[in-house]
Amino acid sequence: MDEIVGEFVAESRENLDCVEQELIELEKDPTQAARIATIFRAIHTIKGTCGFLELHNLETVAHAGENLLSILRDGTMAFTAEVATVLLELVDAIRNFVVSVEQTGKDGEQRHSSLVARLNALAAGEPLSASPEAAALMAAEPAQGSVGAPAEEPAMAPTKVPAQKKKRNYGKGRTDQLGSDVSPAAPPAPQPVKVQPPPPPVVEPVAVAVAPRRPPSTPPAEPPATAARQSTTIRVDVAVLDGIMNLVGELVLARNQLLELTSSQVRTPLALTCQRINQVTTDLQGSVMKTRMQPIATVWNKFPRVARELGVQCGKRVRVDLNGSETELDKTVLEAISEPLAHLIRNSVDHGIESPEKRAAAGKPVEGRVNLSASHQGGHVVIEIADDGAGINVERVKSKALEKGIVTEAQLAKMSSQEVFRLIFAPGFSTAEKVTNISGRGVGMDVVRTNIERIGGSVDMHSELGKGTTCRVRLPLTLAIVPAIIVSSAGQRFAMPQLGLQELVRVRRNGQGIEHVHGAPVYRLRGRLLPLIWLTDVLDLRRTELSSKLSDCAGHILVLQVEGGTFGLVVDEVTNSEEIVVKPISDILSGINVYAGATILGDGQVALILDASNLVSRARVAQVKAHRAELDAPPAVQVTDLHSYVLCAAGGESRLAVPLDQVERLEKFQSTSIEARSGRAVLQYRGEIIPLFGLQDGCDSASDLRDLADGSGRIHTLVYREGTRRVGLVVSRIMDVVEHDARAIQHGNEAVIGDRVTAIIDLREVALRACPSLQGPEAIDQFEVAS
Amino acid sequence: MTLNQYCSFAVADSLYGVRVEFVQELLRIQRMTPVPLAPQAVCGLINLRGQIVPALEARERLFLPARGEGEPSMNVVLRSAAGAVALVVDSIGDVIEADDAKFEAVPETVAARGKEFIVAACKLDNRLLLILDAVAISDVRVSAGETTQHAPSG
Repeated sequence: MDEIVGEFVAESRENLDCVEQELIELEKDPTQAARIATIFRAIHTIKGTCGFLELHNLETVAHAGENLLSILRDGTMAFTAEVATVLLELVDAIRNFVVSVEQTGKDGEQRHSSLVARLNALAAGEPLSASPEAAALMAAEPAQGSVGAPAEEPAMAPTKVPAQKKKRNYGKGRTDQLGSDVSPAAPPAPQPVKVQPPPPPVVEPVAVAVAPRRPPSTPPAEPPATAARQSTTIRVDVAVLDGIMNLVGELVLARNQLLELTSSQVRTPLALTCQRINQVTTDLQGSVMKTRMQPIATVWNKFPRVARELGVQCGKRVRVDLNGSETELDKTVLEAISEPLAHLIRNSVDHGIESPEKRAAAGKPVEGRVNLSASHQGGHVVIEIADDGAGINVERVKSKALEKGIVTEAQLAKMSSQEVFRLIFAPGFSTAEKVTNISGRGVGMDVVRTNIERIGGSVDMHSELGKGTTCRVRLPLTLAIVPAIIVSSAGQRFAMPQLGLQELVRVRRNGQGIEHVHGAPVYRLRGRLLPLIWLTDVLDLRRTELSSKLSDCAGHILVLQVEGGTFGLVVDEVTNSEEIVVKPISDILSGINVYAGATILGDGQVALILDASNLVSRARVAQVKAHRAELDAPPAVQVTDLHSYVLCAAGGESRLAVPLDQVERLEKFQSTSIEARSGRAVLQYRGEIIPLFGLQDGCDSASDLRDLADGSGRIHTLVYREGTRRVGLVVSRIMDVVEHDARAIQHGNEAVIGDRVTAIIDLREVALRACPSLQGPEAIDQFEVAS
Repeated sequence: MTLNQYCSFAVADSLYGVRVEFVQELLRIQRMTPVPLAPQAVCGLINLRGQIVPALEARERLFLPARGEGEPSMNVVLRSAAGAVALVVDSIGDVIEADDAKFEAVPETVAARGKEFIVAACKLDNRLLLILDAVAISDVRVSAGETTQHAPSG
């Protein structure tokens, strides 16, 4: 027992120090509601423990303070200097009690009744101008009528308090009580205690059950029920846990490096030791992860109240059921989902659940239900928010999406209802306009989705008209260490988290299996077309050589499931899979959303972690832009898709194509007919001297060009004519004249012609660069004179 | 009393300095992981004993001609609001102590781009030490707009 008292004293002193500080800060800026909540929690904790230590006098005082604080916290009363004074006095009074408890184990005979009276008076909204005695009377009076109203307790009946207190604080089914106790019809009675939210199950620093799991709804004031229980649980500052987690992260990285270094060794003592370290590290990682796990109840215990109050505002009756509250999630994940979940619940109540009249008319129970459930499924946590409301009208969603220009009619026609519901999460689906006309879902739903996806989760929605809507949120257990595969493209390595990765497909050399739908590459994966994007394209990576995208690639396709469908991400190589520790990349790079962070690989080098969904949306934006540009292009281009190109070899492996209509003639000359005149290569052609040039800059001398001759000593030349002037472009070989879809030209100047990446050359541009005198006023004058 | 100590380093023939309290450490150039799509000044990410630190090219930030291939460089790791940032410079100089009298504001007539990063000029005996704003220069977002405008013209 002494131990418990000692703990109570230490804890209370800590809490009082904190309260004092917060009060002072509050006085400077009374709008900081979070501070009131902190103070409230601290006082609440003290009061809760008093009940068990049978410190009734102290409990009475703390209780009065708590009442006042809860009113302040609800924002119905302003935090004035007067309030601050009384609360500081409360702190002093509790301090006195604590001293007494420390010395004697009892709270002594002090009553502080005038303080209690003033606290109650303030809580009742009365000025303190009257003498404390008078105030006490005034406070006591209105309380007489309402049975069990807290205001009367502190003044009169300390003996009655403990039993009642215990029940209120530690009784089970507290949330139910909240749900049913106060019906919307009941007038908002001035009973601050009754409408208090369930106490937040954790205080800062978070209490963490290290060895045995506590029931998730344990209130902050740990009831010192048995000494044994106390000794197996310790309070640890969250910052310490974060520190340990970071260290374990480092350890995991070092372990990875160690394994890589010793991978070639078999059965040496070193290798065996490494194995052992590997195992211990894995176990340690698991254990540390567990210490950071918190039941989801910590986040959603507040939801019943949120839903109830919102229901009252909208004139609806709503009941929230919680299933699987004990499901545990990493603290960081919990923090990240709190807001999105609250949003989804508000949506359910605001727009999902119908008014009681409508429900009655539809033959449903008058009280709407929102069912929250959480469960572990295959390494993930799945949270479902289901309401039995009106459901979503698929047709309304469709027309809305069309109206907003999110999809085209053709796209819509092909969509499954599942895909249609996903549109709700599309950015811009709901804007400032009232969204209630499509049963409401949509206010900031894209924000909900973004927030959930940011932590590697996903969200899906399903609805049946008239029956209700279910929202399914899938979350990773933790954020700190994730399994990933290491891929490389253009010589650079990247990590792709395995969440959302469905499978890996190897593409054969020469790109067999890759086909094109209107210029966009797709892969036939078990009979279904998988749209492909190239990592090199999305990230603007420079390809190491002018290697063909398709013909030379023996790449891998990562089949990724992201919001909006399945995509294939083509990378050059898949190296290995590795547990990676996610580290943030500097804030200064936070503008680039295609990276989810960075990690350190086994060899000590930094690798960027790819964010699949942002990668895909970036690729999609690029495609849409290309598509738009196409639509905006002059009609001539659109009407004649097929253009004829002269296909040439241009030294080495590279190939180029020149639009046929730019070429006047294709000629082959003996290389000996090239002459040099004032440093330039020229040729006599049809009674005219025409300058010759090659494709490479600075390789235009006669001897350079002669080197391009083919086996029979002839040089292949494309003759270009500007006005009356001609120039010749010398290539290695003229191969063919082909027809190609101009719209399939990628990057403005590259196309895949006959399985090879081919540069498309604007002959006029090249000719003018090599021979600027072709253009200019003189040239035009000459032309006019000549004609 | 504040110490007027500056860590000096050379970038393209000029001597620059930042207050020592902004300097976390000096490093020889390390293996870097390039960051595709990042602003041009970002040369990559380095692994600084497990911490991932972006490296910025000082010449790019100051609109100076690019460093030639293979020329030596050093990292000055700065403490910035956004965490540690490595500034890639040509070479490291001494820590220079200078009293207030030697400082002068940047003359109005300096119109060169990148002058917003220079807070003052310190007149040393034989040359000028240009004091950089460590916070501004390590935040590529500050002049992101400028760098993109700069790219096509230059």
